Amino acid sequence: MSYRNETLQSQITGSKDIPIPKRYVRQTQTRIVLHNLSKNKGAMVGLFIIMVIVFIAIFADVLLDYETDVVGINISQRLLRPSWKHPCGTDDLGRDIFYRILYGARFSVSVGVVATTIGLGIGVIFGAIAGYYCGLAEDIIMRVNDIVSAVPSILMGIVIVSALGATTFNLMLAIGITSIPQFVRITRASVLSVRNQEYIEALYASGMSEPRIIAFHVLPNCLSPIIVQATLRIASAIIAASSLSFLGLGVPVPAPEWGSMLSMGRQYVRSASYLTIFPGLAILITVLSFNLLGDGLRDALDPKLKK
Amino acid sequence: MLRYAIKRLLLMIPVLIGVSFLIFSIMDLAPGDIVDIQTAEEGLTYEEIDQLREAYGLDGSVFTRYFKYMVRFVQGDLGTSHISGRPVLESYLEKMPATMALASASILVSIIISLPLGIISAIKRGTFVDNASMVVTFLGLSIPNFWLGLMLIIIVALNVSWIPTGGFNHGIASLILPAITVGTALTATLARTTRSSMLDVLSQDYLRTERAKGHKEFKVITKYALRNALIPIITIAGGQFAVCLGGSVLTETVFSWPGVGRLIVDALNGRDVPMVVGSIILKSATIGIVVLIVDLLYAVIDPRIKTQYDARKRKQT
Repeated sequence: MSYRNETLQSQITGSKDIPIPKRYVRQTQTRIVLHNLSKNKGAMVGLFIIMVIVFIAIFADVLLDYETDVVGINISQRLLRPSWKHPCGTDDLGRDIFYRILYGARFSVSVGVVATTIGLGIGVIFGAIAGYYCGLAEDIIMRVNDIVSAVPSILMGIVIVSALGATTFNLMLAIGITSIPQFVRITRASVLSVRNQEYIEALYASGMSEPRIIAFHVLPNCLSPIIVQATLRIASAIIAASSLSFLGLGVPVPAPEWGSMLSMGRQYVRSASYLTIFPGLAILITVLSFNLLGDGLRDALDPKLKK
Repeated sequence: MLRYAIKRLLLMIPVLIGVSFLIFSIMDLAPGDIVDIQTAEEGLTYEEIDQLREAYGLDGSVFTRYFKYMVRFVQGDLGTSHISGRPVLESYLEKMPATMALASASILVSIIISLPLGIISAIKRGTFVDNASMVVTFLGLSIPNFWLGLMLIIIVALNVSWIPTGGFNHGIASLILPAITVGTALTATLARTTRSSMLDVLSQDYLRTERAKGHKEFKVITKYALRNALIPIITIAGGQFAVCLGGSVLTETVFSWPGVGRLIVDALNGRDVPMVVGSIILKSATIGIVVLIVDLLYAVIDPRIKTQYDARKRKQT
């Protein structure tokens, strides 16, 4: 119940139990969305897990000592089964899998977020230009977009990383580039639906420059689908990053990237299956959380879509 | 309709040219080529290395090389692999049966699971069954493919001896694990599409009419409702089939599957440019053609779309 109703009710009933707020809370779009989102249990669980993972990723250096806990080799402790001391066991070089998974959050989250930001930044700019200006600019952008999206994204990622070299930054760049087409398409579609509205015409008539109109008046009205797409895209970027690392084309060893841990554990899949089970679970939980949040955001931002 | 199909096929040509140029130039960015890899250990003189480059067609700028490549491409020659020395097209087609088998089996697994799942959750909307199946599909969407494959190997290798965990030599049995692995991710998307598409249809009046006529509920759902809900389902399933036909790199790696996905990755590792460019063109073309066939299928399912094609034809003549 909103404050406005509560105030009215207390005025009518004269009840002192209900506190009278000092000021009315304005119902902004953001508040409505956050309110809708907070009612979605799945999205809240997802958000909570994401916050925990991001916390671990940021403070990984404080929680763990990289040289000893994460990459330090200790052959006497190699391939130990999960126990109280090593909850997820140790790998073939005696490194604690649990610590490595915790530290690995740093790579997965950063690759997911940076790659999506690259795709989002470039995709939104080109999508907005294509949607707003139409004509030749649109034709060129959309044809190039068709070309980039004709190659399956995982393959495109593999080609880019193997051409540029397997480093963390190239991994981010490759996954970012493969996500551009989706952002271009989504932005263009929403810009198209906004650009012919009268207020845009009014701004143009009042002499505002077109880049300014796009940046401050068109794009803010196209945000919902872009936000949803970005959240879901982080999830697929994390999978893509671990897939490429699994193929040996991602974060270089000995960094504890979840995909490369899986790739290493693959050699021991029969004798020490915990080497593959736990890093995979980490990927699954992270991706699931982003998917849950993205799905919740979609429902919250556009209640019409909810079925 | 034929006119439409031809138009779409012609539109694919510029896209494929673009794809080939894109991949060609990205490969050109790579430090080192096949000659570097081959001559790394042999002590060859600079002249000999240059001769070798010329023999592979690696001399000149990227544009000259691309132009030469395209001239041969137009003549139907996709080039020969630098590593095996065999024609690219031949090597690609050789790997197609394995990929085709995997793609068909995966899409079959996906349809068998996801259609009933989607329909049931649409009918029982908001109940426990609906929520549970949506949670399952969410898990399916979030599971990394290759990890699921490894988990299946762990579970199956320990318990069931007759299911092979890799290779393509054991007939249908060798398809089981890879098909489940690829099929699961497809199932998730397809079940969600089925559910939302069925929900759209279920609320329409004509179903009430069918029920009033005395048709059994099962028939109402499967015959009248499902048929109208099919278009989005077929779009998604067709798109997925197309992508699978291009080879699933990760699943093929996990199960040592001799498909086109592995072919491309191996070619990339060996810097085998003609193989990489040729396979990616063939792969994109396959995807484009399958998507086109799916679009044409709409006309078979939905008479209204067929009328549209015909109307367009009448207008043009």
